[in-house]
Amino acid sequence: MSKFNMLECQQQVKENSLELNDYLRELEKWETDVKKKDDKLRTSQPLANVQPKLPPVRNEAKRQKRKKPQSSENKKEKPQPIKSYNYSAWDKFDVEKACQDIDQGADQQSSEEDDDSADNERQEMEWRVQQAVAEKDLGNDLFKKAKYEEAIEHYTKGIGYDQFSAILPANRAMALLKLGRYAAAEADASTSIGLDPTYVKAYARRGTARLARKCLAEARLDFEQVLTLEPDNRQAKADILKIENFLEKSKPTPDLEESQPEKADEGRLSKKLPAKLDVVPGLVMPIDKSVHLRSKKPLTRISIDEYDEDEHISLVETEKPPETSQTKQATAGDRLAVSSGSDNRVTGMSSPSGSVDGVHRQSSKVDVVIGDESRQDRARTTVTGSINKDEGTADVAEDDGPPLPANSVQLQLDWRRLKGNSSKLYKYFKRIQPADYPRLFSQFLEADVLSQIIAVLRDFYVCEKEDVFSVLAGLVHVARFSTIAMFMGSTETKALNALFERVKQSGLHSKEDVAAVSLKYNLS
Amino acid sequence: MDKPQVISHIEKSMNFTLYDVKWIPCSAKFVVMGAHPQGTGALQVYEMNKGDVSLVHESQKSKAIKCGSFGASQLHQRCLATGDFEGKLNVWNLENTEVPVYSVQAHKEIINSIDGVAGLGIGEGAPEIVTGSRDGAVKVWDTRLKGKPVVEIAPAEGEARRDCWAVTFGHAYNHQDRCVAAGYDNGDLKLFDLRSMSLRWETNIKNGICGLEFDRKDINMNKLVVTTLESKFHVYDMRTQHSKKGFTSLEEKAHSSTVWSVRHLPQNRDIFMTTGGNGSICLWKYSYPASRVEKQEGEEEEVGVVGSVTQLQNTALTTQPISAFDWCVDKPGLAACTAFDQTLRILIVTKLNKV
Repeated sequence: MSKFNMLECQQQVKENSLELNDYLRELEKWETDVKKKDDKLRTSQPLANVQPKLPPVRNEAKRQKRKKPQSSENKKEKPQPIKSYNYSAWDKFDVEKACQDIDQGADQQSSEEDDDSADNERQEMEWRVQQAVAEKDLGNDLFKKAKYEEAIEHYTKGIGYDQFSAILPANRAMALLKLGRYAAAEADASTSIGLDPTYVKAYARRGTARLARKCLAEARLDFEQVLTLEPDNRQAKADILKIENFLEKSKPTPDLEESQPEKADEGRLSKKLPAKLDVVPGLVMPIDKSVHLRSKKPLTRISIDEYDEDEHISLVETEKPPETSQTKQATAGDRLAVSSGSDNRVTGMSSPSGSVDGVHRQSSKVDVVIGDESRQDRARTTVTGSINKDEGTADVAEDDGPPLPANSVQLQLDWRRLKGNSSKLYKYFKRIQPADYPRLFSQFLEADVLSQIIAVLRDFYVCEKEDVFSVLAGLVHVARFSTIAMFMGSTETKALNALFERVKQSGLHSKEDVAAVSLKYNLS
Repeated sequence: MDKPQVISHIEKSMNFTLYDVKWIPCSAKFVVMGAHPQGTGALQVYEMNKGDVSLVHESQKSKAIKCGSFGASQLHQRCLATGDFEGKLNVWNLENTEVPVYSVQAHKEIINSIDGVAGLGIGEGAPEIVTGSRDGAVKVWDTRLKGKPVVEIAPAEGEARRDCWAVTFGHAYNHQDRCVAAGYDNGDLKLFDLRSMSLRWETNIKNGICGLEFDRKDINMNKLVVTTLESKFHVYDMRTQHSKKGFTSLEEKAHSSTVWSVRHLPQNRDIFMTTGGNGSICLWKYSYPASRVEKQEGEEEEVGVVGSVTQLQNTALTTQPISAFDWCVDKPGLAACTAFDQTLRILIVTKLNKV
């Protein structure tokens, strides 16, 4: 038995070693095979299309899951379908309503899809805002290194990503200021203010830009706005002081026509509105209150007094507007307004001062249109002043058009408004100095504008015996004038001939000058 | 008498502590991970070379490496995910180990265990890595998501944080289903369902859990082997979960010391190797019962029935604990193991196809 066992054991050992040898031989073969396979795998690049499409990252899938239950709720609301043999139920079945429901269901479904797309949109928006912030940071870094041009590039990119950020244009304005590109800086700061009327830095930067451009009054308004938002801003205070000093120096002899009560009125107004020192009496101003300071009370209807056109004209005649040469005083426009109300709630409807384009600074241009009263276009509508809370005195001023334009954009706007009313246009045009024509009319003078001017000259200047020649001579200096003069029609030529005839007759100007100017108008 | 033989084919002595070894898929190479005496991490790639192993690539990392896995890597990339002593999860391209392709501070403390799924064609769904750490947290990572885990399973604030010693993936047989099993030092065994994001089942087996593995990751859960301190391991039948009794299991004594780890044979899911703290390795075979479910009298719900295990072989390789063991997927019967005697062994197990 034991002998048998031993034999078996021997055989087992032999078998085992044989097996092992076999295995080792196989192993060697496998080694060479698998090495080849390995090398092939390592050297070959994986084919893009071979790569399986992987499922989404887990937590993203989870987010989608969270949304699903909402839609399943909608499904639950669906009523059980009526069984075909349930005749009583079918009798009650309202086909119209069912159709309506189906339509609504379709709407709902589409709104669900909208939700999806809105979600995507939101994500896209978030991404854009993030990009904008990243660009802003890059820009700020470059700004700190005084690389303003590159900083501007980044801010511009940032604005491309997020055009609703008030910070990006304000920062770009700062970089532009550093480069001395004040006009662009002003525009950017205005954009920023339009996006966020409470952004102090934007006002400060626009003020600086305007100061640099010698638009002192506007600059001052900006700095005052800074002070209303941030009363301890030292820089703004210093700048205002600087402007005041400058204005003091350049101030002409005081205007005699400025009446005493008006001044008192101005004082009172300025007390009410510290931000507007040059508020004009009798003028309805939009009230510059930043959003957070505004009244929360609801708007109320305010009484409107109507004046007839005739009455108005008589007013105009009796109270001739002051003719001034100074821009600043001209802004003290001449609009008719009656302040008699005692309700300050109207402030709620005032527009923020920093309107987007920065051009509409002149608040006097804001036409207050209230309710259906505005439809009377022949009647002058005036608005009860919101300024005086306790006083019911009526100040009557007169209106003969907008103030002197500060730039050509404003001129264009005013011109378009006054086009229909030649008498007002005349008064408006008269106030513009011929020396300013090249600046103001440069981008605006077209054949039709020129013919309007000539009409005004013919109809009013002649009657009023005004100096026609200086206007005509001034227009000649406007860019592209010679081109525009070529498009004049026969009526204009005729009118011009008559005008030049008068000039010659008056003998106020030398014949050579008159001849030279008339030559420019292509008159023989 | 057709017992499989376990032969130590190659022995290679190293100059650092070996913690883990993994065969590089589709090659005759394997990577050895460990800690140098000065506390830095060792990452070495060896290749089988006609009865010997030769060093192919070696790099030293700033932190000692505890564990590694290829489980979440695509076959053409073969990126190794490692967990280190400082809680960092790194994914290395072994062609260039200068900088990791993915790196994240995964845990506050040492990562004890790591596992991957859905790479190498094993398991459905997104490739994910799971890490278990001394800080008590189990985290699931997707290398497409930088910086944060896709799932974090941790005790609530203020609760005791047990040391997580072992984690493994399983149940990844379709795109949605996936489970993570985690074992803790106090004997807690938890099964997390990643589909429902909930704890599916938990139990306590009294002894700290050193290692666990599903017999297959990419099938509907079948069996789970859990190895513990005190020379015991448990085999759970994972097919049938009873609402009260949970999963049925058997307990088996082995090694007369800590059972460090368990690895199922890639070619036969019913054969597995356990490694012992006494330097021995045991080969086991699981036999299914006649019926895997039964209904107890007066009860509606079915309860699982566990089979039995038989020891096929018990071989003492050394006197030091066997820290890691890995079967070669490409060559049946070939395996590598590391022990705390700083020796790497290439093992041959014969007659596996005859059992």
